[in-house]
Amino acid sequence: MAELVEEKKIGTETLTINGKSVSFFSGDTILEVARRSGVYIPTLCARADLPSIGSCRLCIVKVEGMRGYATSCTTPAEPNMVVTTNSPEIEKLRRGILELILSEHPSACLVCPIRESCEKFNAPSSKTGRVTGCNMCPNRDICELRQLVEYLGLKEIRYPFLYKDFPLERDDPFMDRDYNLCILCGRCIRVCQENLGLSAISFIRRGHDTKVGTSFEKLHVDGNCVFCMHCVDVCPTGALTVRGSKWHGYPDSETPTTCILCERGCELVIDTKWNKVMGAHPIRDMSAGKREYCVKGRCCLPALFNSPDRLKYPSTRRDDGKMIYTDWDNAVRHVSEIVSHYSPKEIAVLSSRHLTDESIYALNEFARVYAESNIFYFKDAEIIFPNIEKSDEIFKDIKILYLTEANSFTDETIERFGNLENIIIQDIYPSSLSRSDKVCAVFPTTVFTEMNGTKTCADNRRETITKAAEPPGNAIPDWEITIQIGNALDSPDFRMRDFRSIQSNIQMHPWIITAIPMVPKDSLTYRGFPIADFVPDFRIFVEGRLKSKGEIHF
Amino acid sequence: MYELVEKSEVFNVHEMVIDAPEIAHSIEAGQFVIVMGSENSERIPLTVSDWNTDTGTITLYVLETGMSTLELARMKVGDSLYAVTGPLGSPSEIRDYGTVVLGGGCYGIGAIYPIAKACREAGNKVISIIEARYSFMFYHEKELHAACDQVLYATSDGSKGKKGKVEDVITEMLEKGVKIDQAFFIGCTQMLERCSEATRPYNIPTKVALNSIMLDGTGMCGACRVSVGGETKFACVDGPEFDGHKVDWKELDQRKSAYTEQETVVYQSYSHGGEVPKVGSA
Repeated sequence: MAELVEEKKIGTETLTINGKSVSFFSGDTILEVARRSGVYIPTLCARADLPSIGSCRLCIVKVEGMRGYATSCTTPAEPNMVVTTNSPEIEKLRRGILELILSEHPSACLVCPIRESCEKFNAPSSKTGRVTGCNMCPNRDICELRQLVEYLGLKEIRYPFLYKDFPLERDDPFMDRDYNLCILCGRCIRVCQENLGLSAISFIRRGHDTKVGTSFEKLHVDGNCVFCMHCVDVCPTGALTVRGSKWHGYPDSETPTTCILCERGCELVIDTKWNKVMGAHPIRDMSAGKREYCVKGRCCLPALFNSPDRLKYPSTRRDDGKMIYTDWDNAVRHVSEIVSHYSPKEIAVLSSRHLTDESIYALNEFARVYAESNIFYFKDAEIIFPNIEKSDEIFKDIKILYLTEANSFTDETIERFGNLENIIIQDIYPSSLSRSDKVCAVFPTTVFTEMNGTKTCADNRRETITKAAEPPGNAIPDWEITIQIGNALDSPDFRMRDFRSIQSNIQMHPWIITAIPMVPKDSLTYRGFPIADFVPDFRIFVEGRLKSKGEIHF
Repeated sequence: MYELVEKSEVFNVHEMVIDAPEIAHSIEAGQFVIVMGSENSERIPLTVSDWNTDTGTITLYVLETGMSTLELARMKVGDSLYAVTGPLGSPSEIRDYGTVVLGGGCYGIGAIYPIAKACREAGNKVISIIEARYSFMFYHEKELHAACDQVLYATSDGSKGKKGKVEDVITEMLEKGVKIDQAFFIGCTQMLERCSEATRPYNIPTKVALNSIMLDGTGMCGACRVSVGGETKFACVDGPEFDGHKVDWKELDQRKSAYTEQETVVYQSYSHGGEVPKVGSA
């Protein structure tokens, strides 16, 4: 991609923009040439990552020798063209066009006499249903229409306002739609149709009644929509929003990281506010991607990770049998003392496919030193010991389990460990197993948005995971808990001291990571927990999809 | 109990007529109820805008402005609210003042109606001033016209009445020399403050209905406390109406935004098809 842009910079032909000679390649539009040479032309419907249709008319420019004004997004550049992108006349026309657009978009707040104090008072916007002005609009802080009003210095709208009075569309999972805000730029339709090839939406009805919708105006969940939300990402207004991620205004930070809910390992930007995950989306400038994001990474993370049920403090079982909260030092000491009473062949470790490479490696090292490499994982509710010939013998020997995915156990699978005495749980949520009286300690750990690290994904890509949010309470990453216990047990053979030593070891022994299979794309769980248990809209999505298509794929 | 008998929406304000005969028989102008949509809902105070002792119903105008009001907005006729507690708060002080001006915005357009009626019955000349962004956003107009001597309008875009807000209409009246003996305002904190500032230079006695965050509504918890003239008052039992010239507006705004984080995060796990999510500090 970078090479392509470089190459384009030294185009073969030249034209003049605002008196400056600029080179270009044949096939470029005037808008593309202008953008590359650093000349701003306002647009609402055109985007660099979408095919242009010239519907908003804001990108008009004057081309010498051409009648009237040309839309720069659809006019091919030609050698020796003389283009003017800005003049009092063009500005006046653009303001007129914007006024017309705003005569069908609730814009009273833009011309309200108390606009400034009201915006300060309503920061972020008030959480309304039907949007009747900017201060009730979830998109206020990133609205492209508002930015253009500022840019063109529009102070007054001369036309009476027409409210289209479409019903609010809030019956779909995850997505709210208020087409009374829509300016019919068609970006959502283009991204769905031309970039992704899904065509879940299109212009429906005619004339003033024209709106964006599905065929037969069915719910999106009953149609072709996969809820990738690329339409939301490209919408220049607040017409399309993700219900759970729309009221926080400007995020405090935007952190690029990798989604590890499945093996695809998609690049994702996490919006953070109040130290919490508020939303996840593709990089903004490239959000009209050619590959759709899945609903899991795009919409489920905030609810999945911010649930009040998250484990927050380490707890251990007291002599009187009660579980009590304690600090990390005490918890680690308590557990290492218990573990030290067992011989390595009596210990087994449950790894999880959802862990980061560092956490998988640390667990593997723990198992190698203290558990005779008795490490296992779950695959379709089956227990797999990759290092050991499968035999019932091993289940009889195990007396203590160290689990990172406790919820994958059913009553039946846990009963296979017939002589079990103790269970150590390291998890994000309580599970039915964590209430068992064999549990001697529960360690709260982090989800992937709350830690740094790497994850080996499909095609052996090793992707970076960057911390975007604070963990709840005193939760710490899996690898950190594992090496704390490993070091407390004090075997000279346990060589993991910190994050760095784990990372350099992964580079030397990558097969230790790949021995644990990756999470399949169609997985409906995270660390053994059904995503739908924490994200009610995901349940509606899955059930709707199963009903209409009989199967579900991401 | 508390069945939703009628429901309609006018641009984000939801008219809810609720079966609550005991409340309908005992409520007075200016009082409110505390409502819970479902068993796990937050308790929210809502001004009662009308009531009918024959049908045993009360009318609330609910502005959707957060999770709890979203839940009410999604209810359908025939659904029942989990709880409606009231009447709560002190009734408005109604006497023969002379000329009374009532200002209302958003849910306040509906909420000033019973006070207007009561003031008229007490012999006052009643002028109502209502504000909205657009002309088509007004509601309950016919009833208000019937209860008032005059209804004046203010809109942000100038499509009906004066272009501006309630305080612009009042300032214009006062500058013209219209005598106002008492003012009542109901709306968002910002509107109450601006209107109070408009009446202050003319020393017009001004009552504002405060909408601080409230829990029990009976003076036990103190969540709704506000500073009025340097004294701590409880909006639920000492109010909701207070002297608009003495309210500490800055403190009120700060206290009202104390839970912005929780109020925002709760949307993450909300589903129209599911239960109201738990609020926590995870």
